[in-house]
Parts: sequence; structure tokens; C-alpha cells
Amino acid sequence: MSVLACRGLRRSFGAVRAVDGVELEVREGICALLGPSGCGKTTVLRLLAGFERPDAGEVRADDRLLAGPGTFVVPERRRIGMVFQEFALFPHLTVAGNVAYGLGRRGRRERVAELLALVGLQDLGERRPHELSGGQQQRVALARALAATPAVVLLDEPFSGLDAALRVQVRHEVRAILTAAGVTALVVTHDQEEALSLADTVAVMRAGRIEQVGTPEEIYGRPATRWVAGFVGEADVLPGEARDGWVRCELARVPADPGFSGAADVLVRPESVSLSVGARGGREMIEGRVVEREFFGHDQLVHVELPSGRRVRSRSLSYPVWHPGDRVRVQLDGPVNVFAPERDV
Amino acid sequence: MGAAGRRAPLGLLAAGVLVAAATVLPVAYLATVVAGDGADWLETVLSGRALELLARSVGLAAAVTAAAVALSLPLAWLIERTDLPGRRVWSVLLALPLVIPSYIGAYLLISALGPRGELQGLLEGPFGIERLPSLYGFGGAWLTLTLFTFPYVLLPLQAVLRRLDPALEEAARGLGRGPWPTYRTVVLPQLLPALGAGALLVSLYTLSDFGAVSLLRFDSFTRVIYQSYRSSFDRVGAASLATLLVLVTLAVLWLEGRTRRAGAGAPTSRGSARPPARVALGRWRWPALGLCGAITGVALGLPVAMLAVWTTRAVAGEVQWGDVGAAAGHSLLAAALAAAVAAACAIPVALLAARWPGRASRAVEGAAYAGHALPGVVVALALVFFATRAVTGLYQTLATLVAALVILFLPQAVGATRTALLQVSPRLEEAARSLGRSPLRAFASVTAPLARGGVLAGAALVFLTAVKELPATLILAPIGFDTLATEVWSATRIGSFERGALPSLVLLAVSAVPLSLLIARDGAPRA
Repeated sequence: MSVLACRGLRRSFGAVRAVDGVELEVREGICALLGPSGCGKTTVLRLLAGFERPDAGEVRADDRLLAGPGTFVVPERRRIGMVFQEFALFPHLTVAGNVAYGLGRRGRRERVAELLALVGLQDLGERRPHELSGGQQQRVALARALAATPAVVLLDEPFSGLDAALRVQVRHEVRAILTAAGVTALVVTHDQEEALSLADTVAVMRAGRIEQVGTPEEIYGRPATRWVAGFVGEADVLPGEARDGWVRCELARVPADPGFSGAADVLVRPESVSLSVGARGGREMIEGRVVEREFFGHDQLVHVELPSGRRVRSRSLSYPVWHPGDRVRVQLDGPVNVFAPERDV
Repeated sequence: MGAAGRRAPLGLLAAGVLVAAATVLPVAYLATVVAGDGADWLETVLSGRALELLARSVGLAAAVTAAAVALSLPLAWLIERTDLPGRRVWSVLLALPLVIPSYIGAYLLISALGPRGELQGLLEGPFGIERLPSLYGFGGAWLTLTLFTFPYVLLPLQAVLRRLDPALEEAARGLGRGPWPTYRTVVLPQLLPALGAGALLVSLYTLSDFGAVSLLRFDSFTRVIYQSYRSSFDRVGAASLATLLVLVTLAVLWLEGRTRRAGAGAPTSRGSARPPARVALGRWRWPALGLCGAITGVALGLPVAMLAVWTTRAVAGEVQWGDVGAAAGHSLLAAALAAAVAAACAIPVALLAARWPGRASRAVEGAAYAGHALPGVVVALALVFFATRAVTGLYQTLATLVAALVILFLPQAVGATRTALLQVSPRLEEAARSLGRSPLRAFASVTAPLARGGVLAGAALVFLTAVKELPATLILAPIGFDTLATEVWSATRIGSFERGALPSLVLLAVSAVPLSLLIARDGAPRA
């Protein structure tokens, strides 16, 4: 059963339709709302939390109607925790004061101690927020949101305020804390790597609508639209022709929906393209020319020009070292996705 | 996004509208009184006397502004862009004339250079010079107002010159422009907004100044309005002139708004990593020092010396300590009440402006800023009409005086409170809401403690400005309610310079506080 859900949610700012009919069910575990900046995902979060009123549609928690025609539950009555982008810690209160803020008098002290222990800050209760590092502030914000045992916690771009080196570490910590607390969480992010690594479910949002909901593996491996495929991870497009359950493109012949025929786009992820020297018998192989190589240490991205002049990228471990001008055998070596041709993207 | 989509709470909006209405009500009433006699108004306004007044006032404002700009441009450049010896000291000394209210400046200049002043006394004996060129009239008013307002232009110019990214000038030089074309095409356009803002302050100050022009007997709007009000026969005539003066100040504000919009765009690079290279003055440093010294001498040295002279004479003679004490008590009482009321009124206005920007909030804030455009004489006159015709029983009460002071200085309280509120992120209040607090309790437990400093600063600013206010106090104070400002004014009018010394001393000490704060913060001053 969904912990938090919205249906037909709409919200405009002036002429801009920030949220344009969003359907979303947040189930137990961690759910990520992923989309490029300006797609309306933060507005969805603020609609769920009650900081914005929807123009249309409804918001439910369990079976309680939070917002809908004639109903609007104010934020303080929703039992929805919120972790803000820049944390929004109260600068005039101590860490313990911040965590205690949402609690009643009874058992407050114990609950604060419990939460500070959960986030690993038991010794820093008397500090002021500005005396903490970014990662510590993040954990205080989380502890504060969790203190009042909300049904669900919303996190708005929780790692964007942290520098890159800290981000991965804090992400692990946050996931561990959320799991330990056994709380349902919805994380808004524009970083696909963050969404895929953090969440049990990912909802991809574009221009005010949800494009696809699924597990991280589904989103990456079987994107519902060409746009999702391009937004979540890298992909190159090769034009092809579909007939009798197969699509033929420059690199290979791949299986496709039997009902599908005519022009088709084959989306190829770089890790599905492998390069080698010389021929190996049996399977289809194409000769290409290396035009560029980006070296990342743990792996490399090699840009190869095919005989047709089209380029594909190949991601592989950092060996062997390719050089621009090298002749290579190009082989399709992994799953691909086939879409009907689309004009945008 | 954020709060923009929500509507302001009704109670808050009502409070804001109430404050806004209260600030514009007296002047609106004045306008209706005048409009009731539309034909008379036109006749008064188009009369030769009114047009002459207009020409005099606008002429004085233009002359003072031009002189302030002409003084400030070279001074700002010398302090910020050359190796002038003692730059930091000059920077402070040249800002200090702002501390001197125009009527105190006029008092000290008259006592020094006037027909019965010290200089005349010094020259009469040995040289037999019996008449100095008269200080009264246009020349004296122009000199006095220029000397005590030019820092309004100088300070923002300095601030801009200091923060100007030297890379811009270097880029222009690298593109083949010489030093003067670079100044003209790169530096000057960036100075224009600051120049415009400073010039606006000076011209508004001059237009609304009452103290200097009345003591120096220059018939500008404010002096004539006051006189025709005092003569009691022609209050509607005074009101007509007052509305004309308001139209002039509005025109100046409109003009400034236009130049600001047409001015330089927002900087693309923020701040400057390193200070600009300074021009070595070489032998030119002597005339430069002479210029700084001469201006400091007339605008600061002379008044301070005269004040010292009169204070010693006053203390040596018979000081009416009781009178001075009573006046000080009255000044502090009126200013403290005004500060408290203004701070309270500023809260709803500032909250609307900071948290619920929109057409309604803009209207409320605009009305609250009415005091910016209204000369003290006009506000006072409006309240006289309001208190004698609309609501009786308020005339010549402390309440009316406090109301005038609040209307005049509310903008300062709103500005400070708004800035403080803008520094408290609305996310903090939302965090409090998501943790179960109602809007009111979220405000009380989070925003209020964080913004308290700004509210208090606003109140302090109002207090420090209200304590030296002259024209409204002169017109509205209850009978016998002499303040420090009215003491200085009436003492100077009858030429008993000793009597003005002690009140002036107290007022200068009080005025020095906000300016020293401004200098400490290194920012340009507000009106």
C-alpha cells in the first residue's frame, strides 16, 4: 500500500505549468523523484508537504485526504517530515534544540538523545548549527525531521549543498539512517547517479509530468521513452529498420517487438559497445576508427567513428589504451533499446 | 516559486493596509481640502508668487546638487584612487558634515560669518570693515546646504569606486583605450547610479529643508509655507503651496527612478579580488591636500570651532540648565515614542514586502514610504488640518507630533526590518511548520528571535533621526513643549547664539551615532 500518493496533481505559477497532472505513489522504502532542474519536482514535494496548494488533483497519506477539492490540511497537521535543500536549521537553537523543536515535552530528552545517537552526533548536541560541517548539518536536519516520527520524510535535493567529495559518503550515511529508522522517504534530485544508487523506486519527471516509475534497474535498463534513456545515463542513437521482429542497424541485428515495423531508433549505451583488434568469427562485426578518448582512471570512454560516419561511444576498463586513429573492431555486446524515431532529443 | 504563489494572511494584510492608510491619510486629506477649492488652488498655484517660489526652490536644489556633485567627484577619486596622504582620515573627516543638521550648521555659520558674527567682530576693529557680503539669501542657503549634504554624494561614490573591478578598466586599456576614454566609457557609467542616488538625496534634502532656509532667510517653499501658516490668515494658501511642493518632490523621485532604470546593468563579476592601482600624485598632492583641507575646514572645522566658542561662553555665563534639561527630556520623549510606534508599524509592512511580494504588498510598502517624499513642513501642515477639521481634540497634542514623526521616519524602520526579515530564510518557518507548529507559533519561535536585531536597529534609527527633527516639531508640539531642535532654531532667530550652544552639542552627539555605525559598516548612508 502506498504511504503517500497524489493523483492528477496540478499547480501553475502565472502562465507556467510547473506541475501538470502528476500521478505518484510513494511506497515503503526510499523513492527518488528524478528530473532535470525546472521540471517541477520541487513543487511536487512542496505540494505533498502542504507548502503549496494544488490547483487541481489530490494528495493522500495512507487513506487520509490531505489536499483535494474542498480539503486542505495545513503542513503542521500532515505528519510529513521535510529535509530542506540548504537544511534550514534554526541558527538560534543548538543542535539538540533543533532536534527537539518538533517534540512535545514528555520524553523529549530521551528522544533527542536517541536521534542524535542514530545520526552519530551524540556529542554535538550543545553545538550551534554553524559550528558543524556540511555533512553534520545534513544529519541534524534529518534527525530533526525524523524526531516526530513522521509517516514519510521528504528530502529536497539533500546533497546539493555538499561538495562532491562529501556527497557520496553522506549519501551512504543518509541511506543507512533512513533504513535504520525504518521510515519511508521521498528524495528529490536531479542527479541520476544519486537516484539510482539511493532509491528502491525511481520516478522520472519531465516538464511537470511523470515519465516513468520503476526500480533503478528498470529505469536504466528498460527506459520507457527515448528521453528517459537519454536523461538516465549516456546513450547514442543509431537509425535502423524494423521488420519481422528484428531491427537492423549499423552495428547489429537486434530483436524487437514483432508488431513493430518501419524506421526505428536503436539506443546504445556505451558499456554495451566493446572494442577489439582483429576478427573473431561467427558474430557480426564492424570496423571503426577511434576519434577521441576520455580517460577517467577507473575506466575510459572511447569515441569511435563507424563506416557510415556516425559515432558511438564505448565504455570499458582503462586497458587497452586506444589512440585516435586506431582501427578497431566494434561489437554490440549488451542490451539495447528500440524506439520509434522522435524528433526532439 | 515559494511564497509567491500564496496569498498573505488576511490579518496581516489588514494591519499593513491600516498602517499604509494612516501614513497617507493626512496628506490625502490635505489634498481634498485643497481640491475642495479647486479654482482657488489653481489661482494660488499659478500665481506669480507661487511660480517665483517654484523657481527659487528648484533653483536652490539644482545649485546645491550640482555643487555637491562637483565637490564629490574629485574628492572620491582622490580618496579611493590616488596615494593622497592620510586617505583614511580624510575619508572620515569628509563624511562628518552629515552629522550636522542644516539648522545647526546655519546657526554656526551665521554666528561666525553673519552680520553680528565673530568674523565681522574681528574685522571691524583693526580694519574698519563694517559690512561683509551678506550671508542671508540664496548664497548663504546654497553654501550651507552644500557643505552639510555633499557627503550624501561622496559616500556612495567612494563605495562604488572601491568595489569597481579593476579588471574592467584593464580590459578597456587592453582594448586600446587611453586613461580618459576608459574613465568616460567604463568608470563613469558605473558611477552614474550612485551619483544619481546621491544627487536625489541632496535635492530632496534641499527641497524639504526648513531649518537652513528659514534661518538664512531664503524664501523657498518650506519657509513661505511656514510663514503663511503662522500668519494664521492663509492656511489654505499654505496648503496649496504644500501640495505644489509635494508635486515637485514626486517629480524628482520620478526623474531619479528613470535614470536608475536607464543606468548601468548589474555587474557580471562580483566584487574585486584585488584593490585597484592608485595614481601617484607626485607634486599634485599639495593642491589635493589643500582642497581636502579647505572643505574640511569650512564644513567641519569652522562649525566645531564656533560650537566650542559658544559652549565655553555659555558655560562661563548663565546657563539655564533647567531649560536645556527640559528640552532634552521633551526631545527624547517624542523621539522614543516615535521610534516605538514606527517599529511596531513597520513589522506588518516589512513582513508583507519580504514574504508576500505582490501588487498589494507593493502598494502597502509604497504608501509606507510616503515620508520619503514628504517634507516635514507638509506632513505637519497636513496633520494640523486633519487635527483641526477632521478629528478635533488632537490639535497640539503629543500624539499628533508623534504621528508626524512616525509618518516621516517610518521608511527607515521598514527598511531595517525588511532587510532583517529577508535574511531569515522562509524555509526556516516552513521547517517549523512541518514540525507541527502553527503559522503564528512558527513565526514567534523562529522568525521573531532571528529578526529582532533588525527591528531594534530600525527603531534606533528612527529615534536618532526624530530627535533632531525641526519643522514638524515647531508646528505640532504642544504649547511649552520646547525641544532641543526648536531651542537652537529660536535662539538663532533672535541672535542669542550662546543659548543655542548646549542643545546643539547634545544633538550633534546624538547624530554622530548612526553615522559612525554607517562608516563602521562601510556602506553608503540612506536618507
